[in-house]
Amino acid sequence: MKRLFVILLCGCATLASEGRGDVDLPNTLTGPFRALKRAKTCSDDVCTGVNELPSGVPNGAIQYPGNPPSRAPSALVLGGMRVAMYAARADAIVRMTSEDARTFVDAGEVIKEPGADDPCAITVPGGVWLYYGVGDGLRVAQSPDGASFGPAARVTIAGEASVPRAPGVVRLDDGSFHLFYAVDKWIAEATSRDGANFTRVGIVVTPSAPVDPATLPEGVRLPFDDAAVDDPWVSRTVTTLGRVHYQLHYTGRDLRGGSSIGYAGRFGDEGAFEKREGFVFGGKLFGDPDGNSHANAPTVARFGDFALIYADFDVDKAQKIGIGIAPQRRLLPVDD
Amino acid sequence: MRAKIFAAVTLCALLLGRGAHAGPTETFGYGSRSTAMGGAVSADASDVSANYYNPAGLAAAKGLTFEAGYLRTIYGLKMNGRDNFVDPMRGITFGLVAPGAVGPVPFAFGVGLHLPDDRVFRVRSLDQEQPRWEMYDNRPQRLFMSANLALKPFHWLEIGGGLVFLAATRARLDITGQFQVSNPKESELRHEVDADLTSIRYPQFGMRVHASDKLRFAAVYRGEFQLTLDISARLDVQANALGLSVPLLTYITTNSVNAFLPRQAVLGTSFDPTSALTLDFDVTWINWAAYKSPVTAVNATTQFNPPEGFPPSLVPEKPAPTVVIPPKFRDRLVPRFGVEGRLPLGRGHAFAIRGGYFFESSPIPPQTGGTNFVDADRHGISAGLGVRLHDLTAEIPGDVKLDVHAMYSYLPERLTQKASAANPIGDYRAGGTIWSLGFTTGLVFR
Repeated sequence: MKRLFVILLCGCATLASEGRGDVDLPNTLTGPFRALKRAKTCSDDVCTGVNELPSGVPNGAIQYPGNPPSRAPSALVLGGMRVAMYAARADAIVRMTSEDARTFVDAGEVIKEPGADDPCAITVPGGVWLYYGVGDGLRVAQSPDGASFGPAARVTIAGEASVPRAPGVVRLDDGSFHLFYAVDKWIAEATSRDGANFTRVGIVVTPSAPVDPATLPEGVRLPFDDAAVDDPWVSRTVTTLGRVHYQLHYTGRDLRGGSSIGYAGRFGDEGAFEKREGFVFGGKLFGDPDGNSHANAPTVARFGDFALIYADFDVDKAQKIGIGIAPQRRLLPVDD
Repeated sequence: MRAKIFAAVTLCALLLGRGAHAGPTETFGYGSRSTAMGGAVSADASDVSANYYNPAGLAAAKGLTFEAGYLRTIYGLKMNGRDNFVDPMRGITFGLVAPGAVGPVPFAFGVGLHLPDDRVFRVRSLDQEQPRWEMYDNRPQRLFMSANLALKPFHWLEIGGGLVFLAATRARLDITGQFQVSNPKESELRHEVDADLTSIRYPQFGMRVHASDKLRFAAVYRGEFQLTLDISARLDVQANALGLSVPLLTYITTNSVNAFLPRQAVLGTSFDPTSALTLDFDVTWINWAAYKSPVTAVNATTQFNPPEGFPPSLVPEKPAPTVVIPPKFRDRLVPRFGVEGRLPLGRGHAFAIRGGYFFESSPIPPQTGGTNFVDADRHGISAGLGVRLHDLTAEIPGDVKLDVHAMYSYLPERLTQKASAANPIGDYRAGGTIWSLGFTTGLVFR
């Protein structure tokens, strides 16, 4: 009797509704990111799951419009779910727009220059500044509306001996700029008062030390960034307790030829970054047939209580784009 | 008649075994009178609420007593200023006290029950880093049931106690068959579930000493309780993909602790400066340092030997075993104060007004690392009214009681500052308010 009573109690317990005590929880929106997916299935007019990507798009395989495909995106949130995306295509930087942050319309070239790559667009009072890399260094162009840009200026970095590439820039409220860029296999930082003439601060993110697979505990993965760190994308926020927080996403390249997206953070406007263990976006969904991840060149767009990450994955040079969402429990239904 | 009722009650208790003792009562009180007095009633309770506050008090029951009521909480708990919509706790309360005698020694038996009206109890398994209101989200969402015995061997001494139990769960899940990787709908899988519920017992004791007609002292001990949930699963299938059929064998074991209730010891006193006024004070030591993390530990072992040509991207990855971070809670002392003023209304009727206060310091250390057990200090202010009608009708030879209460809990905002800039949750503020409203109505037969 007693056992029957307990079983009945447990049986009732399984019927209870799921709790709601996990609504609006704090989160830095820095990942880990879950790949958006098409998960709606219907049988006999009963549908379950939601689609987060438009019809005809397989999981994590959106392609930017235009030919050849674009790469190395940089997102600017325009309000609501509207996004302007700057990306490199051939010898140009193109601008695309999206009303739902997932399907993009080509708005044409905004920069035409041989070797133009790795754009980074930031908003400044009175317009948009677009940083990008070319063969011999970095450039910056200015626009009042984000669509038409004037002639680009050379970006100088005093104290930097190597050729910088892949810029990521934040502008502080006092009008100064912090530039993060890839150099060799590291990510370095430089500061400037005018956004064009920078002074090198130093290396702020380095690759992880290689690990002997034989020494790894069971179930623990090898470092995803033991070969190089690259493609910094950075934002500067202030935490709810008033601390300045730099959030830096980057491409981590491993010694096995794969790449995934990592994250590093820093409190305050100076100092080294602290890396999070493990990648925040990548894995087999963005991998080649051998199982190696090939996600790279991230950009992050924040929409209130969630963020989307966009990253290239260049399997077979298809230059498709993976889109992920954080927090991972957040669903982003799409009408289709 | 009375003997029959007593026998029925005793039989009921034996069938139930021992009660389940858990979190809603320690968080929101039990019985409107006792809750209105801030829960400071270990030396004062002799009604049904003594089943929780001090079983020794049952021996002082004035007659066979039935009580029933309802309790509802309204949460306003917020993180970073945003309401987390924590599930409210609500449920009916029921209980009885059946006094008698064993020879010359007064004796009483009591049963107390709080039954949530949404679920009997809830088990949640959350990610280790997910913020959760550890004290209020899941812990109160469960049954409270208690059965106790009390004796009064001397006119100045009452002692009581009971054993409390709930079930721990061990379950095994076997899945065998053919699994179509490319089209899961065409899979043919067989499931086998084998669950075992084993009981957990712990004691609670109490004593009350009447130093005089106006002064009483009490001591109560409540044992530790935890609900363990152990589940093992075995997946033994043929995975079919790209024309290849590959055997896949996976073992997964999970272990978690839910509904942990720490040991508690209570010292209390009750003083009647006049016949119309009672002052109560309790202090409770709670052994939160023994708290077990509710995070589920998962271990998985996979045997998968893909043949030549099997796509490496389809080879399942072995998940890393969960490393559960010790919660490192701290013990705490909870002071409680209560006051009751009584106004005789004639013919044995009476009216009572009550108030109470308690302070619970958070036992949870600053969450600067990978866990996010969210909590804040708690100030509880309570108030209530009671009416007792004596010999209302000939069919009810005794008292009819109606008590109502309201409790307001204020949790001043607590700031959590993360040590690592790479933490995915980041800094946060947490605090809020909780309202708890309820009533209890009862019959006391003389």
